[in-house]
Amino acid sequence: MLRYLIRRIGAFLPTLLAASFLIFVFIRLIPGDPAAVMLGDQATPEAIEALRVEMGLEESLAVQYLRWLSDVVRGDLGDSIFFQVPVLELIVDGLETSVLLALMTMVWIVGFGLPVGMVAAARRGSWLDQSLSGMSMFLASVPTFWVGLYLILIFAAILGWLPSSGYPSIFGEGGLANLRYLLLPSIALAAPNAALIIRLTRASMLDVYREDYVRTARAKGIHPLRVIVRHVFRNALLTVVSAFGFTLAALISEAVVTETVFSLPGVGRMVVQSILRRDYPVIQGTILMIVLLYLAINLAVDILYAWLDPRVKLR
Amino acid sequence: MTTYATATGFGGQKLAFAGLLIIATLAVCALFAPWLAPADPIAIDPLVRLSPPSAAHWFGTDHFGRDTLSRVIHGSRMAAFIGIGVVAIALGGGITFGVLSAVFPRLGMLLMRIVDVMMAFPALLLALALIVVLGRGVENSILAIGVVYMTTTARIVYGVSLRLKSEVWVDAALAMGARTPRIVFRHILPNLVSPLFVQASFVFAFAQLQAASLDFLGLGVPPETPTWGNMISESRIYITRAPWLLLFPGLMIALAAFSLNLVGDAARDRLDPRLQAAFGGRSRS
Amino acid sequence: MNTLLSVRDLELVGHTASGPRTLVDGLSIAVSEGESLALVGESGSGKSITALAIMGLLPEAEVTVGGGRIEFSGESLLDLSALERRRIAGNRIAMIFQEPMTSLNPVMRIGDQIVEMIRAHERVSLRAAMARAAELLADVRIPEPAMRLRAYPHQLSGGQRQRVMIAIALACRPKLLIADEPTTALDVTVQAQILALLRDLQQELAMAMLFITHDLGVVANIADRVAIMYCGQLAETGSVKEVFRTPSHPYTRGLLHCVPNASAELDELVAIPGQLPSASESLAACRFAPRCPLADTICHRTPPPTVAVSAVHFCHCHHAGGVAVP
Ligand SMILES: Nc1ncnc2c1ncn2[C@@H]1O[C@H](COP(=O)(O)OP(=O)(O)O)[C@@H](O)[C@H]1O
Ligand code: SF4
Ligand SMILES: [Mg+2]
Repeated sequence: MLRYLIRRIGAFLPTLLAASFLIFVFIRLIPGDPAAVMLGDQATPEAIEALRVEMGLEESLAVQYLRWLSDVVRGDLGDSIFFQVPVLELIVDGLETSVLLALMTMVWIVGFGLPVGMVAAARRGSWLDQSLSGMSMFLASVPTFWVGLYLILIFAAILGWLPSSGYPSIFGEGGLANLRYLLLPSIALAAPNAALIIRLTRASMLDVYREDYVRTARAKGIHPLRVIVRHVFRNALLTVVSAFGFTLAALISEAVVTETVFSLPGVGRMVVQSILRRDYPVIQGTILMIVLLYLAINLAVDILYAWLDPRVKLR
Repeated sequence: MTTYATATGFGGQKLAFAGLLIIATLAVCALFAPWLAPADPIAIDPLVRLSPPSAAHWFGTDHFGRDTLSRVIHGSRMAAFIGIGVVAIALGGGITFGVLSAVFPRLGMLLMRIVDVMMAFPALLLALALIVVLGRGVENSILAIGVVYMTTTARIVYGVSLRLKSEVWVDAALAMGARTPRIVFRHILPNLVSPLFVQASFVFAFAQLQAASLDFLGLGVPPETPTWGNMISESRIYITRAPWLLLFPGLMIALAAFSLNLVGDAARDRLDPRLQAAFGGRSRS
Repeated sequence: MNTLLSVRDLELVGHTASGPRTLVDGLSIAVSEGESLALVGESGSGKSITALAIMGLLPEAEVTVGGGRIEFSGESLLDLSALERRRIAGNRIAMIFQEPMTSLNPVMRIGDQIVEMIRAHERVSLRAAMARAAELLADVRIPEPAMRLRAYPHQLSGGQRQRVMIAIALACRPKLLIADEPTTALDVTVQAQILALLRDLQQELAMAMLFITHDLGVVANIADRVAIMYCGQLAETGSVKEVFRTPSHPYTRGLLHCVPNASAELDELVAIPGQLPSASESLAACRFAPRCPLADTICHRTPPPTVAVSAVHFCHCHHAGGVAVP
């Protein structure tokens, strides 16, 4: 297990480094002087010159990268052109919304996707299975923002049950009740991804059901439910967990859109707004942070998988 | 124990046929949009702003009084154009890099590491980063999304080619003194056709969703072009006054992605099981 | 000796895309208490599905029981409820399978898989069940049993996994053990060890055994009686000694003729021309007719009668000689 951990982390760091290099150079690919680009249209020539020196634009790309990287490691992601505050502060502000949104979405995906997939597999071929499978296939093809807008129309505008936009922190006034602001966004975000998990769970349950060891379990005369849970589901879970990394990528992509639909003050919306405002330091910093988080969670998923599958530890 | 029934596929054939039918309909819309659309998609009529579906305007009109049905029909043009463009880039690049990597192991190591790094970016985020560099526009949307799916395609092509190489190459062809290009064209590429068909349908479907997202965020096709994503983006503030405005463009995106997914799924189920693994835990982004 | 298991006129029907097909046709076998019966036939002749029918584990969507009776200790299994069948499966009839590599749950510890069997049928504490599991591992000659309880299947060799399967099967001291080609997937030396183990345990525990194989060579080692199947029909049954000394069915004769040392496998036989009929072929009344040197029109039209060669030896053939049994 330990060796596996070390190997996985050993693969994680170079990927992260290479990704950070990509993020570093892409600002420099934008036409124009990088320092002028970073400071925006309003910058004075003196400020641009000062930043040129700070960025070390006269030196080689490698030196510039190392300098930038050492700043980043120390938490210095530069200042926002638009807000005139450190990028890291903006990211930290947005993190609460984005993390809570992701967690809540995961709760729906796991709490809804796994059981429904199991039921569909258990009743395979029935009308229930057919409609669940058909529905989930369709749901997996629907744009998140479109679902989100209609959720707003129905549950916020018409019924008035839930707020349509914004999210006040749970640490401020309102406390945990503020989580209701994330209800509609998380459902919109969960819908297509839960649909994928339903399909995946169903398919891998059916695959596992044909395994020899399931026949062995049935030959023991144990209760069919126990066969399903301890033998079929437990093994099908391996396939589902190994696909969680993909789900996560989808989730992050769609969170960018969902946060925009619901005007949530998260990191994803900040990416979009910064692009529209040409606030390059923020773009660079947020993308770096998201990639870091994404890779870290992927690593965690791998470790979870290794923990679930005893065969991994030997390798 | 011997098992005979295919447990995973349910009525896959019928569904795939339905998918093909939808795709054909959309293709007809795209090809003959100017003749099929009842009105000019950009003609403004302030007298009928935000009118609900009626005999004159089946899908209603938007805030400029433009005919939604005509805009939806014209939207299929851009959808098809973007889909084809993205598939061309993703497959063209993916095949090139994938096959090269399989044939030249050293180069392959490097290219596949680059692919790994690109895949460290969630799809939309990578597309957004590319748009930041390229600027918005039809071609840039296509290029950005194409590059995103070029990575996954390259990885699939690489996996399949490696397998083919170990099966065909060493055993037969090499023994008969065949040369690399010949092996690539005679043995590897023909066997890539069916997995690439599967990949093309998925990429086409994902491209619809990604392009719509870019449009919705205001970072895709210029707003004056009638695309389904732009239509939703423009009408979103009218959702309470004219909820039908968003219905049809959204349904079109869903229908296009859905039908392509149906076809892709059915095609994948018919693939050689060893090749199916390459499409493992697929998701849409 | 009391009859423990009796299968009478069993008919199993396969449901495929091309319509229903009789896979096992009028099969009758009986196993007495403490006795070992070898069920022999080429692969595809219907041995496994017969065993699964006895266990109640047929894949229902694909293979169903079309007719006949299965009695165990006088109880008609096919008339029992699912719950009652589960009380018998594992507990009084246990089964081991051909593929030791895939027959154990890869993510469950060996000990838990044995304990699961014990606790499905007996009210015992987890600790007591674990202790029993360790004893069982010792019984099947696995070294350091207490430690092995914590192992996962992938940490064991194929032979050891089959021993674990045997330990699971014996956990509740079943009256009947069905062993479906338990050594086919193993190396030759390991095969011999597992066979010896099964034979020993069967006699120690005075347990009946239905031993399924396509390898005539092992029959003499493991069985008291033998039943030979061809394509879903019974060809010949009797004590191993008599059947080997005086084979009466043309199929058995062909088999033994080219197995002088009884060591070759049925699948490798080429001396009997032809092969099992394929799914699309229409079947003769005696399914062996297309390959039989003695076949004539009656063989194609009328199902073969049961003929008593001796008191302990029966043959299903029109031209075998002997006395027809009504
Ligand atoms: N799940 C199934 N569905 C349909 N036919 C089956 C199934 N399992 C076995 N069969 C058919 O039943 C016949 C007997 O199979 P089996 O009992 O596995 O043979 P054996 O164990 O003697 O090798 C074969 O013709 C096989 O094709
Ligand atoms: S019944 Fe006829 S065909 Fe069948 S084994 Fe006997 S002689 Fe041969
Ligand atoms: Mg068998």
